[in-house]
Amino acid sequence: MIVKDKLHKDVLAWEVEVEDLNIDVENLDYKLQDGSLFRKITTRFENHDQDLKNKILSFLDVNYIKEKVPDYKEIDIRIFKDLPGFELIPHVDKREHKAFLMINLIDNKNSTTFFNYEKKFLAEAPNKKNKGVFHILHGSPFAYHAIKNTSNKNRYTTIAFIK
Amino acid sequence: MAVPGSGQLSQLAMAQEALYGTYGSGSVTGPISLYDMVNGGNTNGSGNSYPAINTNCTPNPAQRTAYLTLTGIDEIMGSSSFTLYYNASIGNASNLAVGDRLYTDCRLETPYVYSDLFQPGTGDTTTICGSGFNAFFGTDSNGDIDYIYCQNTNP
Repeated sequence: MIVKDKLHKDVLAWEVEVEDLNIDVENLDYKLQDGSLFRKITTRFENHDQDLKNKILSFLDVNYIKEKVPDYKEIDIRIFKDLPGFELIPHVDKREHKAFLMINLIDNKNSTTFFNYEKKFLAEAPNKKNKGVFHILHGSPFAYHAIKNTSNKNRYTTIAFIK
Repeated sequence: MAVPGSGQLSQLAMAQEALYGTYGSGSVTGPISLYDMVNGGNTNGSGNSYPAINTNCTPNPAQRTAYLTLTGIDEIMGSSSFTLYYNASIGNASNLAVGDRLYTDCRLETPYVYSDLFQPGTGDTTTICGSGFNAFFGTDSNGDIDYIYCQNTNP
């Protein structure tokens, strides 16, 4: 995993890139996300293949994560399919989530967007396959993040939640 | 025209305002029921039928538990800046805690269930946290708050 530039001076987020994960995302088995991340969810689906999650974890730079989030206890890998129209308005994740690392599994139209405390747009993460963003949550300066799939195609990502 | 904000009020003039928007003038047939003026119609025997106004919280007088409002609520799954209601016995929004129930309506009849919410603080009594803080809270399947905390958003 290569960590590149900071996305914006006012966001604790850095562009990242990984080697090709080579996952045939469109032919995986997905189930509706169970609401453990956000309640009332209807447009985000999740794949639960543990071998695949282990493979993704092996592509991440755990030492970098440890350096940035020394007190983390768990890296929770998720594989998502977000339907057209999927939207999370500007928010921050639950307190037990210390950071996340999002990687695009295909060339997606939309990526994670970041906003300041006044919800002024600051930056958008990369949307291309094998690229993404590492974001430290609940830090200073405060930042919201959001996502909306405005395309007519499914959006495929993997997110490592650092807890 | 409007009902004066100070001084002596006239029930006849308020009826004129309700019917025509002309406080102090206009033909009104008695009797004038305050209930009908507030709730609309003439079911309480008024000589005129009054227009329905502020229908969110009829009937008045309240045959319901007193409520207070939480304003400017955002739900992470896509809705923003809406209002929720809770029992007035709790007091200011800053008193809300785990176990308190939130409702979609001021009659406190429909719980707002199973949600992840947040609210920018303003320091008003209708926000959970003070200015510069966001409240993060959720409701369970009964509409009861199951987590709630404030987070500093100052730059």
